[in-house]
Amino acid sequence: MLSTSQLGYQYPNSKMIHFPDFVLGTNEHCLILGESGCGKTTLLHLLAGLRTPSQGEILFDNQTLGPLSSNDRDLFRGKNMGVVFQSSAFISSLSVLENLMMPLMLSGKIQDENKAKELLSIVNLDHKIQKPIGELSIGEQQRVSIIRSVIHGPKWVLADEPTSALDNKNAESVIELLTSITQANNASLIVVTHDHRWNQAISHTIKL
Amino acid sequence: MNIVKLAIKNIKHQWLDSALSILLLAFGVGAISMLILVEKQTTEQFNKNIQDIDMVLGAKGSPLQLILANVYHVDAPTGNIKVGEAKIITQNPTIETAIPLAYGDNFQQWRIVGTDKNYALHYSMKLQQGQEFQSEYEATIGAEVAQATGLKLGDTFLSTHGLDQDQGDDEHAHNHNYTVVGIYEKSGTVIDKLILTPVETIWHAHEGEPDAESANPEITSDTNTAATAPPIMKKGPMMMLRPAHAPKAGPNDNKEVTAYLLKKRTPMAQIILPNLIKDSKMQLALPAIEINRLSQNFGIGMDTIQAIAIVIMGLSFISIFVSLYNSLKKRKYELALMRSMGASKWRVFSLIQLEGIITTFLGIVMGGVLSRLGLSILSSQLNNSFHYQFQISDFSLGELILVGTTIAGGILACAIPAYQAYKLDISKTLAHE
Repeated sequence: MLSTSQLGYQYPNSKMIHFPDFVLGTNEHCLILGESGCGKTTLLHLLAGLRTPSQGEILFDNQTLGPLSSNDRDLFRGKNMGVVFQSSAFISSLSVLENLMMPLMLSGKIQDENKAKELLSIVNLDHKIQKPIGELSIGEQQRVSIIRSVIHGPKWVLADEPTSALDNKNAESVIELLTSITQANNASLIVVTHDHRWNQAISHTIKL
Repeated sequence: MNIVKLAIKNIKHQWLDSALSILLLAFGVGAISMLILVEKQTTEQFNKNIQDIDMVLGAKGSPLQLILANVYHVDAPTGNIKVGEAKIITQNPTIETAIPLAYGDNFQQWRIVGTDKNYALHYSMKLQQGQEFQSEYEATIGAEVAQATGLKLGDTFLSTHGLDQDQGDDEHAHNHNYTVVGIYEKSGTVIDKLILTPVETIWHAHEGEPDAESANPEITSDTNTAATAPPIMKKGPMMMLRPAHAPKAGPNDNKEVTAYLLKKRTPMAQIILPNLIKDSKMQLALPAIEINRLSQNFGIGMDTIQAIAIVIMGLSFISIFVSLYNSLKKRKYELALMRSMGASKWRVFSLIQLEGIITTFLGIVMGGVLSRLGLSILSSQLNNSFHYQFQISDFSLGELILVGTTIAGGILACAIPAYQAYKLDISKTLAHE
C-alpha cells in the first residue's frame, strides 16, 4: 500500500509543483498521466525516494522515508522498488546475467541465477544470458531491464515512459510484459507516461 | 557478483585507459625499486668486502682504481710493487697485518690471486671441501669459480696470462698445472670469484719475464732496495712509529706483488705512513674514502634516474586521475542506476576508489616484475664483465615504503573522481541522461 498527501516539490528558483493525493492498494497498478513538463518524472523520483519532497509525505506501507538515513533510504529503495527507465540503462562492463544480479547484490539479497534464467526464458532471452549487455538489441535490452526491475521481488515497480519511443506493436508487447510480470511477482506497477496506449491496460489513472 | 569483481570488470572494460595507467606506474615503480635494490646490494657488497681493510698499498696511479682492483677485483691493477720496497709499510709497527696480493693470470677469466693464508682468514672463509693451499701451484678456489668452471677437488688446470682472457695483450698459457686442493663455501665476498694460490706460484710462473722494473739496474739488488727506500724522518716524536730498525733484507725483496691489504694497529698509521712513501712509486689508498667518493659520483646518476622515475610515477597518477575522471562522465548514468538499485553513496565512492587501487596494485606488481627483469639483465651484464651479480629474489624495506607511497598516491589520484561519484545527483542524472 502506498499513499501520498499534500505532496509538493520546488526546484530552485521556480514555483512549487503540487501533486494530487492518491492511494494505491497492494498489488494494484496505476497510471500517472500528464503532458511533458508537468512534473511526471519528478513525481516518479519522489516515489522512488531519489528526491526528497519539499512538502507533504509519502507513506510506503505506513512508513515514511523522511526519518531514514541516506544509506537506509538507498537500501529501502533497493529492496522494495524496481525502476524501469525510458531508455534502458545497464552497467556496460557486465553480461546480461551479471546485470540481472546487480539489484540483488545492491539490496543485499541472495544472488539467485536460476531466478534470472527463469525470467529470461519468459522473454525468450535465456540463450543470451552470458552475452555482454552491449551485444543485445535495443528491444532485447528493454526486456532485460523490465526483468531486472522485478528480479529482487520489489513491492513497487516504477516505470518512466517505458513505451513512448516504441511503435504500436512493440509498445503493446512491453505493456503486456510489464503488467503480467509485475502481477506474477506480486508487485504494484506505477507507470508515468503521456502515452494513452496504456489506458486500456490500467484503469486506475491519476492525472497531473 | 560483488563490488571487487565489478571494479575488476570495469577496469577490463576500459582496458586501454587502464593499460596506460598500469604501464606508466609499472615503469615508475620498476625503475625506483631497481634503484633501491642496486643501491642496497652494492652497499652491502662494498661493505662486506671492505671489512677491516684500512688501507691498500700499491703502485702509484688512481687510488680508486687501486681499491677497485685489489679490494673488489673489478678493475685492472695500477701496476706492481717490490716486496722489499713495501717493507717500510708492511713491517711498520703501526700495521697489524699486511696481506699480499699478486695477480697476473686467470683461468677461464677467473682471476688467480697469489696471496697468503691471511687473505682467506680475513674474510672468515670456510672450506666446503679439501684444504687451504700449502705449496706452489696448489689452488683453493671460490664457490662461484667452482660452480662456473666445474673444477673439482684434485682437478688440474693451466692458467692463462692476463687478468681476463680477452684483455691480456700477450696472451699465452703457462705450462705448469695448478691443482685444486680446496673449495671454499659461498661467502658473498670477492673470494667466491677468485682462485687463491701461494704468492710464490705467481712469482714462479712469471720468472724470467721481461719487466720494466727489473730492467732497471738500480733496483735489482736487495741492497739497492733499501737505498731507494724513501728517507725516513730523522727527528721528532714520530720516531717511535717507524721500524725500530730498518726492514731486514729478505730473499724475496726483489719479487713483485700487486698490492698489500693493510690492517692498522693504531689510527696514527693513516697520518704517518703516507709520508714514508711520499717519494716512492707506491701509494696508500683508503677504501672507505674512495668508495665514498665513488658512490657520490654514482649517486648523481642514481639521483637523475630516480628523478625521472618519480616524474613517470607522477604522470601515471595523473593518468589514473584523468581516466577515472573521463570514465566518470561516461559512467555517471551507470552510477546513478546503481544508486537507484539500492547502492549507497559510500558504495559508489568505494567502487571508484577500488578501481583506482586495483589499477595501482597491478602497476606495482608489474613494476616489481620489471625491476627484477631489469636487475637480472644488469646482473648478467655485470657477470659477463666483472663476475658480479645481483640477487634477484632480494626485497628491501625501501621497496615496502615505495609500495606504501604508491598505494597512497593511487588513493589520492582517485579521491576526486570518487568524491564526485559520492556527490552525484542521481535524480538529475537519471532525468536528463
